[in-house]
Amino acid sequence: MKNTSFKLLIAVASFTAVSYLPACKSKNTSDKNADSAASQLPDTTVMTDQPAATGGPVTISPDDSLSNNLKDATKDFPGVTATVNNGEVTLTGTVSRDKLPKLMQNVNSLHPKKVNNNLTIK
Amino acid sequence: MALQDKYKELIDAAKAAGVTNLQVREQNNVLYIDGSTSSGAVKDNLWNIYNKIDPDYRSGDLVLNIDASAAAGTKAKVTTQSSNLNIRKGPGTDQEIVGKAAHGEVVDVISKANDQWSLVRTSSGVEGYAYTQYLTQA
Repeated sequence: MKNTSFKLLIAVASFTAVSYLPACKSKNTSDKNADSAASQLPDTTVMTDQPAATGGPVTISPDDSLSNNLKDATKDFPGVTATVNNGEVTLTGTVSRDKLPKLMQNVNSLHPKKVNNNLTIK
Repeated sequence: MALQDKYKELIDAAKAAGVTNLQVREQNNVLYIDGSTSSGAVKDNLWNIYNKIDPDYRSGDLVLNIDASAAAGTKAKVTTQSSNLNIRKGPGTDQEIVGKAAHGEVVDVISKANDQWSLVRTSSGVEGYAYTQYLTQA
């Protein structure tokens, strides 16, 4: 029993020594790799933080204010129905092509998350 | 970044036209372009480019918000499709109509009530609220 534990201890010690010592060496190189990876990180960080650099995340109007403002925005477009779901505005109904840009401009100015144009265009 | 490539011509045109407070942000596969200009023609041009890249604005991948409305204390031209612009007692289409401004008429912008409504005064002296999207910097 004692002999077995001793053998085990030796085995563990030698394994540790064998694996640890070269690990020390290779750790340095991997540290260097990590360093050089880190030196490239700022670029990556800038990329992911880009929204903040250009004024923070996009502000989306709450649904109740979107619904309310859509009444005004679509008032001059009879035949157009606008519904709101979780910031997404969906336009259905019929509109003439020459009126479409003005309608879209009105709706886009309300800070929606997205505008789904399902209109039939005459 | 793919959407910024798709709408590159639009973004470049906005920069070239000197759109102020220009913000180009991509979030959850939608591109948001916001900015202001004192020129209704610049706004129209950007919307034309948008329509060219994405015919009839069908893709639902861009929210373009270019504010060409007149600032408080300046004059604005009524840019309705063709109809008269209602001047209302308060900011909202549920408010009583107190007067009208003709298409193309120039009115004084007194203040902005909020994002959507401006307090204006017509040449005939009628004072009330008009929908800002139909007021372009004169």
